[in-house]
Amino acid sequence: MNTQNRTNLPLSLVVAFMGLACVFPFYWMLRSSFMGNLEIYSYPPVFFPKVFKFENYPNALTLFPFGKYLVNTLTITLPSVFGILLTSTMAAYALARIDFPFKKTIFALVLASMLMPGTVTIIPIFKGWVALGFPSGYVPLIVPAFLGGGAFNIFLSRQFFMGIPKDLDEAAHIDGAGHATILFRVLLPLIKPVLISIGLFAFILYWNDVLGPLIYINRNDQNTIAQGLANFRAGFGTDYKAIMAASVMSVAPAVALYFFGQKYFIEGIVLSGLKS
Amino acid sequence: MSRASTKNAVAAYLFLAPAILGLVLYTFVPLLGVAGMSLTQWNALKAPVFVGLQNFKEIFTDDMFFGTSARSTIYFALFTVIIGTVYAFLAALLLNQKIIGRGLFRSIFFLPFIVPSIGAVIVWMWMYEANFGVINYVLGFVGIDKIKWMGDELTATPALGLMTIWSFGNFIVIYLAGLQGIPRTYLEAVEMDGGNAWHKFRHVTLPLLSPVILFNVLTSIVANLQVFVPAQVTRGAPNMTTLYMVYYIFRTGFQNNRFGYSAAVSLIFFALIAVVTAITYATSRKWMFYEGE
Amino acid sequence: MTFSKKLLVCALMSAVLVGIAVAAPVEVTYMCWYNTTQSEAQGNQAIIDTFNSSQSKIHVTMLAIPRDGYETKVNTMAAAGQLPDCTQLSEAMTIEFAAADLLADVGTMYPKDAAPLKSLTFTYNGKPVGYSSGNEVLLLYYNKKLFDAAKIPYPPASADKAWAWKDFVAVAKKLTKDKNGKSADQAGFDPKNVVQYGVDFNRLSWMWPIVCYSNGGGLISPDGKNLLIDRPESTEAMQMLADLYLKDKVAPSVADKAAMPSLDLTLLTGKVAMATSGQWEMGVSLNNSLKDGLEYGVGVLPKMKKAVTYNTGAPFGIFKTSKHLPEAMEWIKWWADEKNQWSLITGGILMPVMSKWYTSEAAMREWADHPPRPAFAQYKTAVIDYAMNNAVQVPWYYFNGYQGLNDILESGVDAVWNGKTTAKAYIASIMPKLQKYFDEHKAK
Repeated sequence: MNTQNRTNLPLSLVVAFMGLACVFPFYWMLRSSFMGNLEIYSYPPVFFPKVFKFENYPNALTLFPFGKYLVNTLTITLPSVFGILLTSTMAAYALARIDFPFKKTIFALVLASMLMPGTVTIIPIFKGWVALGFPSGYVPLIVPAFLGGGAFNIFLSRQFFMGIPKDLDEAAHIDGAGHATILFRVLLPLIKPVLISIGLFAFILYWNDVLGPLIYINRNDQNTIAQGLANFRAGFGTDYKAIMAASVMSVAPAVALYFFGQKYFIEGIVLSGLKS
Repeated sequence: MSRASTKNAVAAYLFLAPAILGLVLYTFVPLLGVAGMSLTQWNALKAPVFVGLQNFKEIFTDDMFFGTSARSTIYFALFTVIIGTVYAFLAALLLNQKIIGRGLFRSIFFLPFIVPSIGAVIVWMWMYEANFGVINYVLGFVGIDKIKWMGDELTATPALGLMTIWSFGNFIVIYLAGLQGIPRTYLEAVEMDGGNAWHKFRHVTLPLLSPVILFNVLTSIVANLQVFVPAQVTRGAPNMTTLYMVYYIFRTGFQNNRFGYSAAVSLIFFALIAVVTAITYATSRKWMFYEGE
Repeated sequence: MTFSKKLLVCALMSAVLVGIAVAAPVEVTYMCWYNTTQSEAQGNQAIIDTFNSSQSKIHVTMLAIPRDGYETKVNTMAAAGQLPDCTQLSEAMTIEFAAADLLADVGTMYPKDAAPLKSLTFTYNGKPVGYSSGNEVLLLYYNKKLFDAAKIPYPPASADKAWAWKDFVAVAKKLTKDKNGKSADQAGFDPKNVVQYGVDFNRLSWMWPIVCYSNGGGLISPDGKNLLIDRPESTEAMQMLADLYLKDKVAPSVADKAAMPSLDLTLLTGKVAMATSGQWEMGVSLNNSLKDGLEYGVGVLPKMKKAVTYNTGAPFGIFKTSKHLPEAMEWIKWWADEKNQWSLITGGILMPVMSKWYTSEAAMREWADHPPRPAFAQYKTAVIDYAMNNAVQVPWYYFNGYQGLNDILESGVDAVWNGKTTAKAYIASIMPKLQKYFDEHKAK
């Protein structure tokens, strides 16, 4: 909105200062992960390690089996993301493209459930899993993703399906395509940005989830990264060099993923934040 | 009903089956379950005992933590969302100016959003550390005495709020996109009427972005009322001021074995979220700017 | 294949199967926690492997759970009807499990003359329901170099010489330094800028009531029948503890304490000169800083009226729901045998539970005379004798519902430590609720 075409230097400085504040916690995590405890606890704080203690990482790894946690996290996250994408678009397709009895009622119920905070029902859901014979393990963490994939995701995909001309379906229908073909072959490719956005958000959500694993995962060798890190912190209390090294490792994959898929991230966020 | 429409209805319900199952099994039945459990005393070690409304009576008359927990949860959510929204909007406005390295800064502001909250809590708690922490060190340069941050009842929740706001990068991106979507002609019209930057902001930018802001404020209030990880780390310290609701529910149920009581608290918490959301929505006309030109 | 051949094969196969069934060991699941590291879990696994290979009757499978969520996990497993055969229990939850009739009677586990110390027995309705798997007491640790520098003699290392509270405060004042190097007993001392505190007397929720016992009061009477926390002696003691920060200015505030690192580092970096905590610190914390030059010593707690300390130790539990009670018991017995967790004992984390380790000096030296523990002469009087003669049980050994009581007691206790209210007023304010809870839960 600045009508001048020159760059605005004072504002650039303000932004640079704010940006510095944004990256500072990352830097602080990183520098602490290379220090000894005495250096970490020194005051005034040391901004740059005198000697880089690279051994903090292998040391932390003996106590924080990152590789195993990573595999566990992906074991939960990947199927869940798939389930969310599959079942939410299926529901959205029916709500957007097919006429059937009680459509309005069902859509209203979906919208209503968006308002219900998920944490309210953790206890009866836990009881339900116990009754079904799954008091612990990955099943209670993955299965919900295949049950509609969340009201908001249904809603979001529906909005996008509504924006695609119905002629497309009809043409495909005349060519003999059923609903499944129309959805998976014709429409889904058209809403790829939405799918990527839903997928990335679901990924972050599952990646960072602590409450779910806290309730359903009993064994350390089944822990996720987030839960493993929470345990590690609780156990180590004040051994910050080890905790920071573990934190850096836990944050790194998300940061890497971000730089890899930055364009989609931004696009997806914009879509979900603006179009709803 | 024609054969085609029957076929369509069958297809529709097949497509909707997982979602309907989810609605029933993951929302409505558990909600009934919470209601049922809230009327019992159940310690998980023995069979539940029906106690009527006793749990609710205890929550409102005899619970030492519920009031504090509800207040601090609302405080946390409002603090975070209000200041966070202002911050995100301001940052978006700045990033929409002609500044050096705009693309880079957009990435930098966004980055904290993807950090796992447990990772964020760990590094922020360390920066807040009263004696050795870097934040107090930096504040020392501008003559501010050491603040106890997480150790002080007054500052603990705002400190956790600031940490949460740090991760509001997604909102910055959303508002920035909204700003970029404003047609130039609207702004030029204000200019032609002799309006300055403030007029443009007040009569074009804000009204056009209001629906987006309202939507994001509502969703983030609901999300932040359900804050869990920071409380799990602080365990409510200092003096129960960070004993946020979801952690309190979790602690009462899963740690102290009072599942019936915990269900009753959940139910009240549900009502609380509904009320806060409704108030936010109802008053939005007052603090939003819909009267665009 | 002819029919008879088939029959023969079948017969052979069933014989093999029966043979396997006879030879297969009984499966026992054992749940335990690890505090900090997975290597701790691996250490436990190694002990279990030793047991499994030492005999063929019982096969133990370990379920290792992080300490932090342990209570949660045991509760959820109980709710799910999925309890293991036996487990490590946290002290505060033990009697609650016994009251829910989930714990097997362990009274017959040991012969009378070879049983764990009486002080380490959890009892419900007069019956033993568990034994601590290690013996722990609260002690006073200090950094020797800070005492040397201030030319002050070390704290007393035997109960009969325990400091009176005022002498203790006087020493703590000399050891409290502001940023200008003035100590708390000097004029011009600046309590706002303390760089070294004289003492960090631990106000951890289960630890602090020990001062009440020292002053002739307590938390709950040892017979479990009366609440003692509202006795004048108790509230007076609580106030004296709060005054270490409020009046004497020798201790960190609650907020300062929350920001402090682990015990070894607070002593090593000179944040505090003395600190109270449990015996285990030698093996889990202090040992970590010895290589950085920490020279620590150990003494007995200061006394108000009598020299007394708390003893505790997390117990084992054997669940009644187990289908293999005798095997579970046999395994637990083996596991509890000091020789099988020798490294934890010599490493300073635990003291033995069986009385035989406390009977002769030779026996004591065998487990105690190693670093990271301090010199044996000091350890013997300050820790072993203290534990044998001056310890009272934390009430979680016998009171059903310790956690709930603790929650009420702690609900607003920071106001006392911060001086917003007095100990007397605070206890009076929560007393109705405390008494009601206590009456509902006390032994009938």
